[in-house]
Amino acid sequence: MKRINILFKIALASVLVLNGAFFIYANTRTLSVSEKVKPVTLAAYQTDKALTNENLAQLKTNSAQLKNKITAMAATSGNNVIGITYYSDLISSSEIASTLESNNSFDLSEITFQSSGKSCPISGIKAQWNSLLNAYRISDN
Amino acid sequence: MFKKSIPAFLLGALLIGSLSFQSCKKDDDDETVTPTPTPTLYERLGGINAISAVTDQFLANVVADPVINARFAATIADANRTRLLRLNLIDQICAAAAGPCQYKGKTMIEAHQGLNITEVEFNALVGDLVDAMTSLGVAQADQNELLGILGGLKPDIVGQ
Ligand code: HEM
Repeated sequence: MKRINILFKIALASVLVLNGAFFIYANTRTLSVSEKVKPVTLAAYQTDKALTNENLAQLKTNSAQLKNKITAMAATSGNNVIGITYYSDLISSSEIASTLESNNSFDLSEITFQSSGKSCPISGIKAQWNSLLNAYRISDN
Repeated sequence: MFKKSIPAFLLGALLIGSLSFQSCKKDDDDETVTPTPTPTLYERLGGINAISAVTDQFLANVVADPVINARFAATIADANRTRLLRLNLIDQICAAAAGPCQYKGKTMIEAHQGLNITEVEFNALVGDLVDAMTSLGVAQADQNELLGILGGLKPDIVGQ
């Protein structure tokens, strides 16, 4: 029983030290110029009809209302996918969808992609490492 | 009379001497004027914020591009992966433009191995980048310079 107690204490101390070290590293390392750029989220929306030039003009007007919340919008005539990059701390993807839809003749839905598929596992590990560091950071940019 | 003119002669010589020194000094100054350094492509593009704006527009264009968007389905599905791809693209463009960044991602061969990317897909992606730069007002010459650098990566990307 005593031994388990000691082992538990050692494990607890290790976890605390590791967390502390991680916290210090994540918050004190010098960020590169590009890491200081505020991160964005990428979203894809599908329309139920092919986009017309009138739709594109309206989309432009609508997306101008989201200035400073979205960083880019892309849509082309004849296609039915809209690409958006946005700051997820300032606006939600559903708010974007309803703003883009207003005064337009189509219905919009966000495309949810499957994260599976053939891909190099290293990208996943690197991305996880990146997100772990970000999780430990106090400020996001 | 001759003796009297000596100080005047000396004064005259001094004046001419100092004038010629002045003009020499001016010539020297002309030589040492440091030419204003030509701004790097990074500076001409507008620095890191302009590059990140181009990258965001480029990513949005790729998402809306029916020729290649399916290729990025797994990336869009995972916010962390998107974040990393964006960071790598910003670093790659910034470093290619001689900016203060270091590309830390995979080599282009490693990143595109097994994807069997076709020439049509490559051109579509380059078109999306061109559209992004054009819509954000990047000068034609600067676009060409960047495309010249990134276009050189084609053999490492297509058909891998
Ligand atoms: C000049 C052309 C291109 C450049 C500069 C480029 C650059 C990059 C970079 C920097 C990465 C990230 C590498 C890393 O994760 O370490 C990447 C990944 C990738 N690229 Fe490209 N690329 C180009 C063309 C293409 C094309 C034509 C396609 C397909 C149509 C493509 C599909 C992908 C995919 C699917 C990934 C993996 C994204 C992920 O990890 O989630 N690339 N590329």
